[in-house]
This record gives sequence, structure tokens and C-alpha cells, in this order.
Amino acid sequence: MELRHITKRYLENDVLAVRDVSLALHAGEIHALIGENGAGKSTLMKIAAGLLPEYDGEVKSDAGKVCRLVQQHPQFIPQHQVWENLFLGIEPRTRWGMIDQDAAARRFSALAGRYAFPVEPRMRAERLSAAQAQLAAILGALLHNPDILILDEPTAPCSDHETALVFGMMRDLRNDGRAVVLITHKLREVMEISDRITIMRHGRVVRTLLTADTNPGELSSLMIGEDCQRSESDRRFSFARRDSGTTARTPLTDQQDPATAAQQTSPPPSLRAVDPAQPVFELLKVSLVRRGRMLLENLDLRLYPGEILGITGIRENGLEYIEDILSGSAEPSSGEVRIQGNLPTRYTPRVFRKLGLAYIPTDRLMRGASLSSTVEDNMILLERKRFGRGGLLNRRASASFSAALQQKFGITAVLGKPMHTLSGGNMQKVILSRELSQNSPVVVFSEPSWGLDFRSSQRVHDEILRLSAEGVGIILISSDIDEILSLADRIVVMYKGSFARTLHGSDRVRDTIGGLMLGIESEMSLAAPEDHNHDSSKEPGQ
Amino acid sequence: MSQSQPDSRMQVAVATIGAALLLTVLLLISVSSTPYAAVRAFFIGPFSNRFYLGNMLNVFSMLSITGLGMAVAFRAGVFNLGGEGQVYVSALTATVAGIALASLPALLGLPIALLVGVFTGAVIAGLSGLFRHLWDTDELITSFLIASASIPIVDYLIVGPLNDQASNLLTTERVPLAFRLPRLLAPSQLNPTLIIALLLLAAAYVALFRTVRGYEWRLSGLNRQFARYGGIHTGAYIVFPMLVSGALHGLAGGLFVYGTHYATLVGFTAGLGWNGIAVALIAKRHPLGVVPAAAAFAYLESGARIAMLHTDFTFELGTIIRAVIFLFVTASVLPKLGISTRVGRSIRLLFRGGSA
Repeated sequence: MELRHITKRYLENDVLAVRDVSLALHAGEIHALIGENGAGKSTLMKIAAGLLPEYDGEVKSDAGKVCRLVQQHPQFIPQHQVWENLFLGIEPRTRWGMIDQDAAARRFSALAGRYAFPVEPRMRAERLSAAQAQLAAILGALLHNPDILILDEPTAPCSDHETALVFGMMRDLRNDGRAVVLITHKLREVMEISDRITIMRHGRVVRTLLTADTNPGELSSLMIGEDCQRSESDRRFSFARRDSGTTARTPLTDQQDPATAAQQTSPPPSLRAVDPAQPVFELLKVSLVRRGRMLLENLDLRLYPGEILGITGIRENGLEYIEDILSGSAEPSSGEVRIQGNLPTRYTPRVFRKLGLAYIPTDRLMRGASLSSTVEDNMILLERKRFGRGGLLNRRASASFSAALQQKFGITAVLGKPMHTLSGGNMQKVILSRELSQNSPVVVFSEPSWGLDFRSSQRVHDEILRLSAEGVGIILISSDIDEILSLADRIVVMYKGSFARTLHGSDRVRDTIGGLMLGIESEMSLAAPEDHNHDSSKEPGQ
Repeated sequence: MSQSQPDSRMQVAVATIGAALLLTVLLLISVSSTPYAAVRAFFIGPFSNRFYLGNMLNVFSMLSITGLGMAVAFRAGVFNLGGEGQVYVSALTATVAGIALASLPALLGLPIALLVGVFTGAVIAGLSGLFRHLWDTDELITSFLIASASIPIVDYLIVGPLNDQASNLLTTERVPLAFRLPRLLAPSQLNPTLIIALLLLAAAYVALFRTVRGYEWRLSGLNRQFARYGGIHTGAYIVFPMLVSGALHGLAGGLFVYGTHYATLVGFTAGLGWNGIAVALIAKRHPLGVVPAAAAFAYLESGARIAMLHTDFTFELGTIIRAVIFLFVTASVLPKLGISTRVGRSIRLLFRGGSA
């Protein structure tokens, strides 16, 4: 199969996901496709598999060749049995035209047995573990006897054992003369299994090379991009102020350096009546276990007033869980959370807010906004009590409050219209305006610039810097390394549910972060050997 | 789709009723031997005299209350599927209370009797809300099961221990004369329930759309995750709406006794609760929408009843017409509410017993 000059623009959000990409897939080869989040890997492969009908360019493949894509997070009808899910549309029939359940189950079992996948055909889909669901989905694709099999992050939910089973299956297909494409973040797996590697960044193919000719370090820097030099000097300059080098920043360090502070667009720091040496937010040995899986392990974290603490990593490595813990949306299985020194009475957003937390969630559509409510109703969420007069909602007061927020944040919207009429950028501004209207001492931002264009995300970043200058403690969860690097004073890298390392000052180097995110130690990180902690021992075989 | 503008929703409602009417006419014409008389009785009948008009208005008031009871629950995103049973049980407890308190002056005894009904309905429905909050059981199923289980118990009590020996009917004793609500348009059944219903609708509108609690209530229904994120006590907005919904059904039960029948008869609720669901759905869960929705429903029901009296229109035909309307309504509304999957899942659970 050959892809020629493929370009794909998503009309809904006007994102150019894939730009003029050409790629050839050969039979009898395992081809790895790697790149950061949003690099366009999944979109490109959906086009290859014929799942996205509208694109520019050409997909050439021999007639009769079957191409199947196993998507990330496979979906099943939960109440149906595994075989019912997978044989949909290709059900074997009995003589009488009825569905031949036994034949289907036999065929499935034979296939599962061949690769030793531990999945039963008659299990109900809702009982499958995440790894079993992944294996079942792969088997579902194999039932179609594909000439080209595309796997999108197939090992994300898998243990080492299951990963080995998947790899065995992939080798088997390759030896059978079929083409296999593996989309992944994990460089270790790429090095182990693939024959050729294509690296994508920002919708383009950076390079295609033979696995034998490369090493993880080179791949990591290709993925993350050499263009990080582009504005590194600017950043260094603007962050001279923030590079305190210690975890606790005192107001003195801010004031000592008025010259660089003046370079900032934000106003000079005017700390409130907070003790800068007292953490405003703490995690103490926090773990989160669900269904026997350790999702977050033994996390410790301290946030001081005026500090921007960046948490980064690949999203599947626990970023969404730490977001839930930090915002009170989930209760830790062990350990404790303290906000301004106080233990929450219960782990709910309600209590966390009362203790002084504001929170801009990743999921703006479901958690951050009520799409069918009016813009005004979305804005007054946190101030609703203030507009109550004898139980009645004072609409005049709430309207002028919303109008003021609209003006302050430059939101283009009609306040009386439903929230879903807004663009993504304006929606995020509504959420920001609401959360920041509380003057909370701690603000958690999760992926604040996802889906925003350059200007909108710039505004969000300015807002974060302004808050920090005012002495607000900020936790910035982001899988975007550029964003983290340009904003955070300290950077915590998550890998497999743990904090792999905390970086501050001059350690905040792109390659080091990239390596830690991917679970490999790149050469760059050797520059700071004293920072090696016990977590690096978790990575055998590197 | 996201295009749920008021005018297009209006169109759907009108089209739904229109389609149901058209089908009714077709049925009448094809089945009846005197189609002209049947159609005339069906459509003109309800307005032909005081008796029919008053009865239609009475049906309207009852349906308004049960419809509102459903609408307030839907607004909070909870589902009370036990309205029918709640009306029935509450009617009985209100009847028993009234008979027991016969010695009290009416101004004291009647409110207490009605409050007993309100309380009964609130407790029955509130239990389902509480179970959902505590154990995450589906309130849609528990409310249905609790109410369904209580209906035969009430049946037994009426024909058994509480039966009126003096009557040949399957009924309780009649409530004290002094407690009975006056008739407004004699000889029809119309009574002050109509005024109470209209006041309740207005009050519900203000409470839902003009108060802080109402804001939290609606937000919990629109997007529970968002409401929780905003610090709203979403657990309370599961239990409380169920309580209110049950209370309204309880009040409907009490008023049905003291305004219309003066006793609890076996099966006398005849779909008040179920039709309340249809009314709430046609009304798009809006208290003010309940007025036209209940009016349309009451009109069709009265028309069927009158056609039955005057022509060869049969009881079954009336049932079919009601079923047709219900089908149209649910088909057009449920997918929009995003609850069809939930209802489907629940129905399947009910009938398959969750077998593997």
C-alpha cells in the first residue's frame, strides 16, 4: 500500500492534522509510526484504513487487499458476548440462515489459541479487562484476514506478558508476508519489534529509517524536534526570573531581579498576604488503585505560592488520574491531599473549592461546561449563591456580572445563547473567566491550550503568568512539552503512574523530559546523575 | 442534533399530535359503521355541553399535576417510573386518613388527609432516590418495581379489609361529606383541583427558572458531571427531585379522591401516572409546556370516551389511540433526551433479569 501526498483538515475545529504525507507500506515488514500526541499518526492511519472519507491525496493499494485498523481504546457493546461483537457483519450462517454461534466461537477460539491470547469467545464484553479488550479487538481484526494490519497503541493497557503475545502475533503476520503498522509512544518496543520506523511531527513525516540504523536517543530527538532551538534563547531570558533553583521561592528572589521581571508582559509581583514558605497545596504519599491496577503510585508534591509547577508525561501514564486527584474528582486509595494546610473532609470538588482551589479541566465539553445551558448560566456557576436573594435568582445582577467577565476576558459570545454555539477558544475563555473570578490561591490547569489556536493559547499562557506574579500557586498539567517548558518553574515528569523525576533550573531540558516521558534515559539526562532516583530502576533492559 | 431551537421543538410537538390525530381519524373511518358520527363525537363532543367540558377540564387538571411530577424529575435528570403506583397508594392513604379524621372540622381534616397522600407519594419515590444515592441502583427500575409491587397490595386492601360493605363496587368507604371538594361545573366532575394545578405549574416554573436551587436543579439534570465539578451537591439533586415528584403524585392521588371519586376504587387511576410521563415528554419537561400537553391529552381522552358512549367506537379503540400517541411522543422525544439507551437497557434488564 502506498499513501501519496495525504492532507487532512478537520472541518469541525479547523485543525490541519496531516500535511502532505507520503508513506509506503511493504509486505512482510513491521513498520513503526511514532510521534508526539497530535502528530497526526492516528489520523493518517485512519485514512489508510478507509475510515476517514474526506482527505486530499491518494491511497494506492492493490485490489482485494484488506486493511484493518485496531483503534486505540477499542469499543464493544458491553452486554454482548465477545464473539457477537467481533463477528458483526461476518456472522457464519447455518443451513437455515441462522447465525451459527458454535462455528463463530470455534473460529474465534482457534485464532485466540494460535497466538495464546487469553480471551474466551462467550465472555460478555463488559467483563473484559482493558488488556483483554485490546487482545480481543486485535483478534477481531484478524478474523478479516487482513493483508495490512494497523495497530494503534496496542500495548498501552498490556503487561509485559501480554505485550510479548502481541509481538509474537505481529512477527507471525510478518513471516506470513503481511504488512503490520504499529503506532506507539514506546521507543523500547519500537526498537524491539519494528523493521522500519517513520517519525511524524506536527502532521508531517520527519524521517523514515531502518530500525537497525538508529537508536532511542536519535528517535527521541527526532520526535520532539530539533526546532526546539528556535526560541530557546528567548525562553532562557524570560525565565531567568523563575529559575530559582530551589523548590521554595521567596518573595525576595522575585524582587531581587526587577530588570528581568520588567521584561515580562505581566505586572510586577504583588504577593498577597500569604506566607511564601508555606505550601498552598500538597500531595503526601498519594496512590490510586482501581480494579487492582496501580494507577498512581506514592506521589509527593508541594506547591508554593506564586510557583508554576508543571506536570507532564504521556497522557496514558497517569495524567488524567492525577488531574482527578488534584481536583477532588477522585479519592486517593491511600495518602492525603492538603490545600493550604487543610485536609479535605471529603474528596469532592465541592470541598476542594471551599478550601481554595480553582480548576480548569481537560474535558471542557463535559466537565468544564454545560453545553445546552446559556453562556451566562455557565459563568455564574461558582457565584450562584451570591445572586440569590431570598432564594430567588437575581438575574439582573448575574447578567451584569457575566457581562463584566465577558468584557474582561474579551469573549465573543451572546450571553443568552447556549454554550455549544461558542468556538473552542471562547469556550475556554468562559471557563477561565469563571474559575479565575474566585481569586483562589491555588489553580489547577489541565491541558489549558488543547485545541486552541496560537493566539488563544498565548492568552491563556499570559493569564497563567499573571496569576503566578500575583502569588497564586499554579499546577499546570500538560502533555505539551513546549507549554511546560515555557511556563513552569519546576517540572515533574510522570511515567507509569509515578513521578519519574523533578526538574528545575537548568535541568529543564527538552530531551531529558522527552526521554523521561518515554521511559528511557537519554544521554542528556546523564548530565545530572545526582538526580537519578529509585524510579529509574523500574526500567529494566535499557 | 444541537439544533434544539424552540421553534423546531414546537414543530416536533405539533407534528406528533397532528400525526396522532390523523391516525385516529383514519382508524375511526375504517372501523366505525357511522364514521361521520364517530368523528364528530370524538372531536366536537368534549365541547358539546357543560358535563363533557367540565370532565375534560378535570382530566386536564389531574394530568397537569402528574405531568408536572414527571417533568420536575426529568429536569433533574432522574426518572420516576412509579407514578401510577404512587398516585394509587397515596389515594388510599389519603382516603383512610380522611375517614379516620371524620370528626375534625373540614378545614383541618382535609389538608391533613391530603398531606398524608403527599407524604406517602414522597416516601415511595424518595426511597428510589435514596437507593440511587447510596448504592447507585437505577432509580428508574426501583421506582417502577416499588410502585408495581404496591399496586396489588392496594387492590387487596380495597377488596379486603377496607372494602365498603354497603356498596357492590370494589371500593373503599366514601370520605366524609364535609371533606369533599365542591363541584365547579355541575353536574361534571370539575372541582378546585384545576386551580390548584394551575397554581402548582406557576410555582414550579418560578422555582425551577427563577431561583438558585432551581438553577442547581436544572444544571444537575443537564450535566451532572459539570454540576459536581461546580461544587453542587449532586447527590441531593437525586433524592430531592424524587421526593418532590413523588409528593406531586401523592397530591394527585389525594385530590383525585377528594375532588372526583370521594373514595378509592380498584384501578381507578387508569393510567394517570403513565400518561403523566407522556404529558411531561410532550411538554419538553417544561412546567408551562405541561398546560398545552395536558390539554391535548385530556381532549383526546375525553373525545375517545364520548365517542364510545355515542357510537360503536370501542374501549379498545380508545386504548389504541392513546398507545399511538404515546408511541409517537416517545419516538420523537426520547432520542433527543438521550435516555432511550437508558430506558432500553432498563427494560432489557427487567425482562431478561440480567441473565448471562
